[in-house]
Amino acid sequence: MSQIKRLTALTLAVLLLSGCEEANLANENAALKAQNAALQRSLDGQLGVRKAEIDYLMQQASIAAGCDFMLPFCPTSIVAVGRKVQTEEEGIAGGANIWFWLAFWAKMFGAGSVLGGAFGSAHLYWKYLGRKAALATYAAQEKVGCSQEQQMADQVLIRATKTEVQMAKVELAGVRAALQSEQTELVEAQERKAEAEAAILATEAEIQIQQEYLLVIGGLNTGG
Amino acid sequence: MPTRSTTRSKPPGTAESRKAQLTHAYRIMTTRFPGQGPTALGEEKLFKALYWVYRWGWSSAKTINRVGASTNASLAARLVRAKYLEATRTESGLAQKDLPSRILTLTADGLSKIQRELETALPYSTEPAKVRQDQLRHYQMAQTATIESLYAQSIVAYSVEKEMAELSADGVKQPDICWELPSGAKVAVEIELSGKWGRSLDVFVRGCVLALSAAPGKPARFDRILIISDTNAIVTRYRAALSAGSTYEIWKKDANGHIQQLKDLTQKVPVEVAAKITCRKSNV
Repeated sequence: MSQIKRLTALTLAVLLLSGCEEANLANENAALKAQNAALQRSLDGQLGVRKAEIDYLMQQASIAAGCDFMLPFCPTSIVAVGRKVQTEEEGIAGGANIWFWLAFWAKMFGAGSVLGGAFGSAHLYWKYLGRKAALATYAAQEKVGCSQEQQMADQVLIRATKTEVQMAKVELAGVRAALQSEQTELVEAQERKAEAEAAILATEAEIQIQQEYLLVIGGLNTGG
Repeated sequence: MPTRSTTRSKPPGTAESRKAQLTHAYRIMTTRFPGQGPTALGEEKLFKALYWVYRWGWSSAKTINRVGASTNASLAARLVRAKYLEATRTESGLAQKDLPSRILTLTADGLSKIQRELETALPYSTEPAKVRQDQLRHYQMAQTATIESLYAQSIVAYSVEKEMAELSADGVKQPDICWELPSGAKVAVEIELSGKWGRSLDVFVRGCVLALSAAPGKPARFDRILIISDTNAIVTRYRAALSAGSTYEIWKKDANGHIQQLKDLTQKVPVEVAAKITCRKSNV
């Protein structure tokens, strides 16, 4: 703005000095006006560029301000330009515009997301550990319960087995007694058989003796 | 029974006929006694005859010839001539036809010869006077029955009374003879020519019962008892006394040496014992 003001004053001075010659002056004035217009257009162009730059810098400064508001933990790649603008002599500090709040809430959202995710993950992990421990406890309890049931079942089985063994012993004793009885009967039968065979042999021998004896008697010169 | 030769002289005939007779006789001898020559055959007959007399104590010529299977009466006469036997006239002589007129006993030579052949000796007296004349008929029957049974092969061996006494010296009553049957059974033979009465009959019956009864772990001494007599009355009497259920008494010497009947000990002849006793009349 100061440059524009100086250019305008210079132009007016020139025009005043050259007043004598009006035509010239008019030409010169027209030229100057054209020049002034050209300069004005140039200035407008530069002004637009500068304004765009200032808007950009303002945006970056607002973003940096939003990011650094309360909790400055945005990444450097995002806030580097804004922080540089804030520290330079232009002194663009940014403002409470939409970029400021957008950056702030984006930061907060990101931080909240990170924290929420961390807390959620921790909570889930905690719940996972608790469930795992609960499952282990349940499994242990189940195991203990199963062990007790198994022990009871084993005791029942042992009692049943003992009963069966006892019954088997009784049955075995019966079988042994029967076997002993049969063996005794067998021995007695064998003895009876031996006695019968001996009796048969004795009878056969007696028959043989009797036949031979009859021959002896028949050979005698008997008369009665 | 051997046929007595009618003559001792050589039969008349030509030399050819005598040669033919000798050939025939030799063929018969080789057929009946294969592997034995005339000398060995003669020695065997001599041994048999002497051994018979040695066992029985005496014998008769008829029995000796039967023992030697001699077809004539030459064996006994030859042994007498050889001084192996001594012929002694019996007291009855020819008066009793069922008794031998002479008995044959061993001489010292005969006794020596037979004892050389034997491993065991029996008591023997070469004194003919010691032969009991009252038992000639008894032992004549025993010898005749024995030799006939041997020839009939109904017995395979026999033992005389003194042989059994040698084997059994416990004073137990012995039968007259013990015959051994082919099966090994033993038959006690009693020659009874006179009847027994009272205690004597009881002792006889008890002896028969004991001899046929088996003791625990000891078989009966005899398998059969054969009582031979020449009289029907005696046979009938013994048959009745030894029939099943017949009773007999027990006799025993008391402290004074008197034989007394034990009271209330009347015994009965068991059925199984009675079935093994036979009484027979024999005319041997």
